[in-house]
Amino acid sequence: METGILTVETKTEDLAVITKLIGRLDVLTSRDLDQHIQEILQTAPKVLIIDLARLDYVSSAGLRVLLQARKTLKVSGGTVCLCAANEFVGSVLSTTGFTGIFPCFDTVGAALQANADAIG
Amino acid sequence: MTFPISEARLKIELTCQLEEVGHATRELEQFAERNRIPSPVMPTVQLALEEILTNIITHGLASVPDPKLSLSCHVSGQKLILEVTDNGPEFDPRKMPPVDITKVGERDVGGLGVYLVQKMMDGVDYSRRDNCNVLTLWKIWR
Repeated sequence: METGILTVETKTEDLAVITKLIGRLDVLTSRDLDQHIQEILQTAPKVLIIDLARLDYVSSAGLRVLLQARKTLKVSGGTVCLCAANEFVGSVLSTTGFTGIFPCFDTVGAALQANADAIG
Repeated sequence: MTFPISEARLKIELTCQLEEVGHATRELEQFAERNRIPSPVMPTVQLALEEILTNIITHGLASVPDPKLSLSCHVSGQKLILEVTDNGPEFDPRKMPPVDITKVGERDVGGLGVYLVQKMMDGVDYSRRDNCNVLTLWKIWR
């Protein structure tokens, strides 16, 4: 998926889906991401790993998409993990308490390892 | 439409559409580059601008027949000051009830945007002038 300033790359590893966000997640691009994530959630993955390493910017509109994904996946017993946020995105996540409710990891590898039992 | 007044001041008239948020944040980024504002400051300021404009466009001006919205910004020393003016009903975002972020995972929490603005900017001021909301935000760098 590509919407000009946000590119989303998704791949599947075992029962985990890894979604990499590249660019800016703002009030406009969050709509497209929401649609993309809803499609992923229809497959009810055990773990959805959101790779933030190349995400430069996020606003509250983007945070709402992440919250909605967490809520939806929780119903089917799945987990949404956040990985590798840069300094700015990390500060937004910690200011809003997201680092307390989402499992957060430094790398995608660490997230996969922590969820090995669920996705193995 | 953009009316650069000087290198150290920018004024933008905006239409009442969400697409304008991207336009405004890009203009602000270019203004910051021209004025050599340290780049780590800018995502925070762009975030504040996006949150405020989104609120005004989707709520404040949504039912105003002749909506008017403008942004001006200038630099004073090591301070970037934004002023957002709209002719919507009186609304002081500083008076919004505080967000309980410990409940953020339990229910739909509104007001996250304004909460972020208040936490991440160095100052937020509000006044009602000539039947318009005038919101002033600033960020200081060292």
